[in-house]
Amino acid sequence: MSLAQSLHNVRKRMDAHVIGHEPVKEALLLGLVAREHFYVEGEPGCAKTLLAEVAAHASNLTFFFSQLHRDTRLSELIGDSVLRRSESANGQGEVITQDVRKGGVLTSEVVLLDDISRAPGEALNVLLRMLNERKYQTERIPLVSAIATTNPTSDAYYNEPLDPANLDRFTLQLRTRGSIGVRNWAEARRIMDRYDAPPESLAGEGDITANELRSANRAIQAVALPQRVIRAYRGVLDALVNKFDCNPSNSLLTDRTMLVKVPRMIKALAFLEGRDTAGVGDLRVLKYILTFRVPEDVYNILDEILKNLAEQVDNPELEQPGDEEMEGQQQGDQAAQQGQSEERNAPGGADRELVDEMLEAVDSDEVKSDEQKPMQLQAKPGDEPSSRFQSNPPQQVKNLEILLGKINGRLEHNSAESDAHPGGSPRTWQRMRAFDEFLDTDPAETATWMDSLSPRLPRVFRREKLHTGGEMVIVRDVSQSMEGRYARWTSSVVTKLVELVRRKRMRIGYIEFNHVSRKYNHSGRFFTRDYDKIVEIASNVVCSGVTNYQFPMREALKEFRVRGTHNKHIVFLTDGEPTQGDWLVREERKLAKSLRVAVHTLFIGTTECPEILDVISEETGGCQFIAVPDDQGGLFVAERKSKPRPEPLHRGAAPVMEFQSPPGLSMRRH
Amino acid sequence: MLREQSVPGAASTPHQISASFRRLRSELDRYVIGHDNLKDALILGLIAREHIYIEGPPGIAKTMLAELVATASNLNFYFYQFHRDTRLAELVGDVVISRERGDDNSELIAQSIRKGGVLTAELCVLDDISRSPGEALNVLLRILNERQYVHDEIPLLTAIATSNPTVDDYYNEPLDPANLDRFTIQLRSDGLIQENRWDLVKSVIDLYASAQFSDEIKPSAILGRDIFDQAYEQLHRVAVPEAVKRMLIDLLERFVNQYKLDGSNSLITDRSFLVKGIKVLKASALMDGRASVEPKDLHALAFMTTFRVPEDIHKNMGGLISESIRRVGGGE
Repeated sequence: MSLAQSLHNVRKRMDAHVIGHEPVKEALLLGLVAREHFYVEGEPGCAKTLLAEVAAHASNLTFFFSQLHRDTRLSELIGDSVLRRSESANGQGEVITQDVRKGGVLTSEVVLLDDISRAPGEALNVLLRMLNERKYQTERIPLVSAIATTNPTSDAYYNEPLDPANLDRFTLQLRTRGSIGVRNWAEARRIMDRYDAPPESLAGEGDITANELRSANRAIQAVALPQRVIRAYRGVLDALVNKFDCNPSNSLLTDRTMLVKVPRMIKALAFLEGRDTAGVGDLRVLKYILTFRVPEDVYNILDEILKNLAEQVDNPELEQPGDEEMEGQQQGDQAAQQGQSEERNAPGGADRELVDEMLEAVDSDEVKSDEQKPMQLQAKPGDEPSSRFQSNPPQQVKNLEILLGKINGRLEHNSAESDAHPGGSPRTWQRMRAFDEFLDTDPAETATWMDSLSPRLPRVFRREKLHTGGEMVIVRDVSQSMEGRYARWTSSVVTKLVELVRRKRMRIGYIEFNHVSRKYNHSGRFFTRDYDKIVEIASNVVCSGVTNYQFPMREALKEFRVRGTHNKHIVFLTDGEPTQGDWLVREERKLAKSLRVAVHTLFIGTTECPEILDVISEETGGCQFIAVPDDQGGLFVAERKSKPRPEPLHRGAAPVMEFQSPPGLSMRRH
Repeated sequence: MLREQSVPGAASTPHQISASFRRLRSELDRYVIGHDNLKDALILGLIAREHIYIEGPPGIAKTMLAELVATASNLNFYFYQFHRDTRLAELVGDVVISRERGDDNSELIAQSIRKGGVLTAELCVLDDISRSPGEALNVLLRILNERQYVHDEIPLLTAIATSNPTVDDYYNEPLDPANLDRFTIQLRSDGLIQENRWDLVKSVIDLYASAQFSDEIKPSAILGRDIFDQAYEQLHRVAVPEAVKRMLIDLLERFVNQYKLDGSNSLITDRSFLVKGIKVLKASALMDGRASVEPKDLHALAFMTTFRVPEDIHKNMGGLISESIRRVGGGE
């Protein structure tokens, strides 16, 4: 049976069990023949795990399956953790050593890591290092390909996004959706028909042997990678970095992946389609690679980018298409012309010659990525590329850093802390205090303890859960007077605040108010981490009505009542005095103090800032800001400092307000 | 508990299956008045071999019905009540420490699991499931869906989970969508008093005041594993006519296009509606003693949409389903 026939049979077997999902099937095959790892993300119930299992069984390789969860420990994934007791050499005592009886990932050729994002970081980091180097301590492991599945990362799923370094280990990455989600009714119908009969079992002979896969891998190396394909690929990289602004803050384009793995994958795709020379069309393999490495909107137009570059390669006289469309693009004249200009902006900061060298090196002699050490990750560890979050331009709000800096300072006060919680991940050790903790002990230690009971109880995992770092409610005035520029500026301020909150992994809630108050709920919950959604809502406001501070304050405080104990903030954005309700918001101030919620106030406008805002912020320990329009049609933010007031506070008192005015700015005062 | 001798061939035709499960139903009726919806859902789940999730306030016979079903089904059953400290180890049996002789005369000490709990039961009742921390439930995912633990198959037929509504008062957390999706059949239930069913309220009072009632509830064992196996075998043979499939697609199409249900407000997965949904339709036909699905069986889908679509849509599910039946059945 020829190699091509075997591969074809694997594909047929996948088709027999799963309808549709062509990209996932192709990516799985690529992973097997090119010996790369594959990460697939999708909602529940869209055949991710099923396909991975079918592929694994079809490949006739040793297979290890693990469903990861918060208690998963590294030791479970690599075999059995054992304790070995033997007599010591001189026969005088006992030697106890800890060891691993190899299994799991260490001895299998295909590994399926289901729900990988539910596993605690500690276990994952070590695991993924092993996946990449394919080594455990100093020995090689027989792993061919690891397939990881996960649900999308959202609060509802109790999982956390894989950190970028880990995600980069999976060269192949895909998002997948069910047929109902994409309204593919023909496919939905076929699924129904297929499952009308009981499903076949997965057991049985595989379709392709380990040897065949090895020869496939060798054949891939022999595939030719012509210059024009390399040039086209270089054009793609160039476009991504320079035209579409893929940079470390929103993307992860590592040298290792883009310059070493991608050329190999291009060849692998050509091989899979039965060719011995790669073509420009094989660049479509980038759709299996860039999924989580570039912003979602860039990924979505990847087909177009590739098409344009393919045309360009064929027509060298054509200017780079889309030049005219670049808004304010300074590099218009430096735009990559066909292979001629001295482009200095290739990824990793290397210049064009170096990129070429690397690409050619990969093509000529197979560079084994294990031995390549000098490749550096473009993103610094700890940086999270916000590829899923596009921030809007600041809309001429100047000096916003002061506001953000101050608020950030307050947020840092009670920044994310770990705290003991039975639902948490096992993180550190502590002494057992009661026998109901027995299940969390280290088994080896417990065994030896049981042999010789002592008052010193065995160690137990201390489970910790990261406090989410608190919550913030943005309360924003949408009364009539806020219409127009004020509304747009406020939306920009909100956008920046959301970004701040996002970095701190805090939850956020959003309330709009005029003479009534409107709370925004997401899937029945007020606090959310769906930051994009909040920005979206905040950008679409309709202003009308008059102003009542009481309602929104009360709504916001109500939400805090059932939350945790610390780091609670309200940011109150308004342009005027309340004309309805208790303008002193007495009850609400009392409530805020008792709940320990800090109310930060930002007053927008040129009139006098209502004293009540000062009072609220002072009493609750919040910051105070004022934003005034400047000469250029933008908004300028400054801190408010209020002078001490004569008691008691009453309407009509006119305290002197001092604020720092930037030079050249005129301010109208009543 | 006495095991009733199973009658050969007691469930080899739709008619017989319907009769067997009606006997089960009568046994439930002896101890629980009303709650027809719940009883229907439970029996559907048993026939289709799908998992069931029931949510409702305390004291409305959720757990009682689940336990009754378990006993009356005469299956190997495991009951577990979740709490805040629940750990994986408690659900799957005993965590043991094994000691073996190694080759070089050393002793190897390792941790392993002596299977029990959910791994060895045919029917399990997971009470108050939402009180356990969300993370602890992850391990159930595989068990419930693929019915596998590590590499071994498990004998589980159906899991019945109960829960109080997830509001802050109850100190619980909502099930994450992936877990919830594993429970094909989902119900909300309210007590008879809340539902204003005063006729039934009176019956309940009468029942529990009567002299013949002792404290202990001891239902008879009505069915048995082989009946379930035969029923499941028949399930696959139930025919699903072309028209019904078209009606189902029409319903799904309207969900997505007309009612704008998508990932942000619903969970409509291929697995649930295209694969399991068909099984539920067939189970509904079998429950009624038929060998072929009819359009009216589509109403069983209302047992699937409880937490998968917004509440107002779910409340109208009966009307929505009838509409799809009419649209396709009445010709296009």
